[in-house]
Amino acid sequence: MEQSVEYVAEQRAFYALVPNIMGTRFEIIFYGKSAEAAQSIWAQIAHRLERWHKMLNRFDAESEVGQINRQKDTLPHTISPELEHILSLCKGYWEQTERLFDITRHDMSLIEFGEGVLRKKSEEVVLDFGGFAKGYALHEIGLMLKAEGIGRAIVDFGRSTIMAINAEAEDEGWQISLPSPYDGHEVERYTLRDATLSTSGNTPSYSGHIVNPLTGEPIEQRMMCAVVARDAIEAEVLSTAMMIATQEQMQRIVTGRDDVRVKRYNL
Amino acid sequence: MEENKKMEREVSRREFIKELGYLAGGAVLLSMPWLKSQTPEKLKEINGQGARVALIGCGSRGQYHLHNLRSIPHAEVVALCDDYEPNLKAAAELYPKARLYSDYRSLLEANDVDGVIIATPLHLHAPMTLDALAAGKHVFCEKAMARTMSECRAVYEAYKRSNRALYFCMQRMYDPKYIKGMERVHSGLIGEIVGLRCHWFRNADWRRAVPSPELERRINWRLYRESSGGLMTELACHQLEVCNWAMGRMPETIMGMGDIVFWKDGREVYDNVNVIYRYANGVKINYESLISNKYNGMEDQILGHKGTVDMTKGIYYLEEDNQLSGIRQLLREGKEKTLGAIPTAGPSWRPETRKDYVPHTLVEGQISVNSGQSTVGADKDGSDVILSAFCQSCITGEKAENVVEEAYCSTLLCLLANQAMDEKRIITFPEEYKIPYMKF
Repeated sequence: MEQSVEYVAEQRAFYALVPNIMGTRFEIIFYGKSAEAAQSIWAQIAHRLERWHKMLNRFDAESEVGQINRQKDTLPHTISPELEHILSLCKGYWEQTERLFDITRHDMSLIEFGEGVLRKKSEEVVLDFGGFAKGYALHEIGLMLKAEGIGRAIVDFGRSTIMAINAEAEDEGWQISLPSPYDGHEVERYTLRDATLSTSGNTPSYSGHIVNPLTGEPIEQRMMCAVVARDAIEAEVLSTAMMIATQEQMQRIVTGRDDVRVKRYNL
Repeated sequence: MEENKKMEREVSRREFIKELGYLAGGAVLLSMPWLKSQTPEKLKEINGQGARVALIGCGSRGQYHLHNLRSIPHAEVVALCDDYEPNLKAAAELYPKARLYSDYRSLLEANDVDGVIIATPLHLHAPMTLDALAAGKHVFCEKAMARTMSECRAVYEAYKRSNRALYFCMQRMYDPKYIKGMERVHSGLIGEIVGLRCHWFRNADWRRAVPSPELERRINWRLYRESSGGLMTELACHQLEVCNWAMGRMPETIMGMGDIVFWKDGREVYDNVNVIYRYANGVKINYESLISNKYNGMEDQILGHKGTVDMTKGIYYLEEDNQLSGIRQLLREGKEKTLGAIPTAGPSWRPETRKDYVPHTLVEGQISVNSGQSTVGADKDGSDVILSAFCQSCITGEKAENVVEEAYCSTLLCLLANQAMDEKRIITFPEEYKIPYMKF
């Protein structure tokens, strides 16, 4: 895994960049550790990143998901405990989002899993964790950092999902600028404090990549959606689902989630 | 104190030489053969010896060289010459022991002068250089090479016949950031070169105070056509050399427009020029210079299909840059607490095509960047190294490869641009001025 790291002693800041992981780039800064301790924490994170990459990358035929997608059958297949855990999380969000978030991009009820086994009910089903994996990775990394006693960190995955950890009461967090992908003007500026910002939407060169699983229609509007949530998975999942949701669906899904802010922009 | 400064400069020169050694070793010396004298072995050869040099032309640029000479251990200034008394006097204060001359011909007769440094108005470069070579002196002359193309040809021919060393002050050839930059460009860092953009902007009239009216044309020689090629010979000359160095060839066709837009004070040379040079493969140099707005400063940009190098700043940018970062900037913030907004790339599940470029440095550590605003010269822009190399040549008698040829090529391009602007036509490089060194 190609990576570059840097330690700035006077700030006790550790920085790492992985330019090519899970189809995008990954960057992290965390504070408050000695160079040696930071390096060891980073080694653990890097190890997990590589594992997720090998597990969830659907573009790699040899990854766990790649193998599942390759097998055009309805037989039971053994899956790793972590993939099973991920599938449970996805199923929960599928239900909570009124089926708008769907890793099969069509109908998640066509897979069943449990006790280390996955079975497709249709041979054609493929899994795509594109709208989930970064949020999941950030969530897990957040837990790792907190377990190590790190109270200040910022992690950027793919330049579209950014997680901030700010444990200290006086820590004001970071300002994050959200530019329009069409002309670069600043659409909004967020203050991110102990939360994750995730954005989703179309760009001039890449539109129609979000598909409504209920209708099969791609979303083609000049639109962008930003979600700030306490939890990184929630931010990630909702930013895609809210691109598709009607106003009413959005209301229903967000209601009761006090720590979630959703905003849609017509550009 | 002075000894200390001399030592300091000598250390920095040794560092320059050491750095050159790091640069792919011999490969750089093969592609940049004028640097062959800049090795530790060569430096050792002249240990303890001194070049006896004289300065002809003691104006501001001449005095700039005198200051640099003070820091070159193998240089001894034995004579100074100027026909303008105040400048000669100012120079004599820097070197009280040097003999003083008002006529350079008398100076050339002196047997204890190994080499002369010529820092006179442009129209005097050729006659003085030719006389000095004929007198058996090694010569270091300011750029541009000469006022006219036929003079350039005459100097070039004389140099070819002569066994003396001749340098023109093409200091970018000895500037670490240009050397490293070129090495990177030629190693493919920015891919295929697709364009060259150079500009030099200042906001100053170029005038100097004249004590009495009859001195106007002598003191303000840069403003009059008999003695000056204007912005092209005074500024563009260096930048065009960089373009040819990058391309490894000469442009074939030249077009341009020049005007006196702002400084309508009786001057004859343009204060506003735009020139396009076209190479045979279609790549163009876009050259722009004016001296009534300095916002854009000075830049020598080499554009490749994979990236851009700005030689003047020692910086490059890549078209597809994995180092691009929104959050890395936080590391550079003074304190842990914060910062301006971090831009996200906008929504996408794949890497974006960036609008912003991240600068990367060509040279590690502190570098000296020339804003281009001084009319005299910048510190540590290679001028000190090339002058030191010249003094070395005065001792060893070794010529510096390519320096005269590069000066010839870029000066001709300057003069041809002036011709294109004057005649308002597209000019093809004239056959009679081609030399074997040129590739088109």
